[in-house]
Amino acid sequence: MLFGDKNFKRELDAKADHYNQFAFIKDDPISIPRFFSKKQDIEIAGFFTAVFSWGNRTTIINKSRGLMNGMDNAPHDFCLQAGEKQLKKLQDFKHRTFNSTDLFYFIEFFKFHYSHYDSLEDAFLLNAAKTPSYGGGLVGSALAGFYHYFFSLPDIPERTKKHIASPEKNSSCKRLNMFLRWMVRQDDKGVDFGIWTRISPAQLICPLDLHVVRMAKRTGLLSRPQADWRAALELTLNLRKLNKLDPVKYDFALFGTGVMENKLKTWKTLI
Amino acid sequence: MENTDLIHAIKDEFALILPEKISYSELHTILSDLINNLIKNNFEKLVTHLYRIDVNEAALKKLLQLDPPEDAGKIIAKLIMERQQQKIKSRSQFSRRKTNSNEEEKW
Repeated sequence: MLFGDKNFKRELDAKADHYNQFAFIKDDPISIPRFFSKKQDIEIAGFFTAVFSWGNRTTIINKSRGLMNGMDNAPHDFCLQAGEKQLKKLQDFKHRTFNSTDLFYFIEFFKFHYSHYDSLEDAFLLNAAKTPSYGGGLVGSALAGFYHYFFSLPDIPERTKKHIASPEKNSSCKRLNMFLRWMVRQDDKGVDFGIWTRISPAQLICPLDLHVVRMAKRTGLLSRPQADWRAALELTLNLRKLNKLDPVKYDFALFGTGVMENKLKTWKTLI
Repeated sequence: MENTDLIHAIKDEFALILPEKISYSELHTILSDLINNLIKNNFEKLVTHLYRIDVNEAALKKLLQLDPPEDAGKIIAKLIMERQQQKIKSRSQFSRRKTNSNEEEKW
């Protein structure tokens, strides 16, 4: 099955439909924001979970869930109101290279932002109009603008900067693009939330997961060797040729097929 | 068997028709047979279940190497049931804490 083949779109659509199902993600990181109903809680829980999303998914879920518990399962209230005593509970928090120094800066940012705005969507759109897009249209500007806004508070810990990617640095921004997919795409399948309306699904950039990259290269959707911002743009551009209104729905097809192929190999050697 | 949540989780995942009351070992036997059937006839579907349930690959590898004569269906079924119980427990703790935190007055 290759990009350009007569039945390519039909097959990829079928795979996207197959994997864009709640049953497939119920134990994935997106299950963490799904515990919440308040918009700001979903945004904060989703943001932390997306930032933590590298490595073993059980660990990602446990750490994200642990952090939400530490925030009394009300992350929005916690970020706005937590004093020294409440923050102290989180001082030992650590997930891979993300530690409490990073966490406290994130909380400080959320406190600042939500004191001025109702939604985290504003944080992405505030500077978008005056920020270059790096070829990625509104989402390119939104991501680059978000980076500068996020790190606009006084006394930024230098180490925290590595946790927020930007197209300005030619990063594929995989985790932020995944977060945007969760917030923007409306799939009516109980997977993506679709609670943001000022960015359209057509403007999203595909998150470049390693399974996605492998499948995209194999099917001819991606030729660039490096998995960087330009590769994310190349893939998304091709996906838009298949579905210009909802190109990132194929994230499910590429990720699902890739991960299953990988698992099939592993399990065949075990059983 | 008291853990109806486990029965429901297995029923939902594998689209099985199971009685409301069933012992742990009966459930294990039914699931083992189903897994063995999938190993023979629909390995891809089995892998999808294992991924979705998030069965620990390292633990399975270790068990299969330790005890090769026992059939794989039984080993996998046991790991699936253990993993589902683990998730039920951790979800219920999370939900409970969430409910408590909503009810209690915070600082």
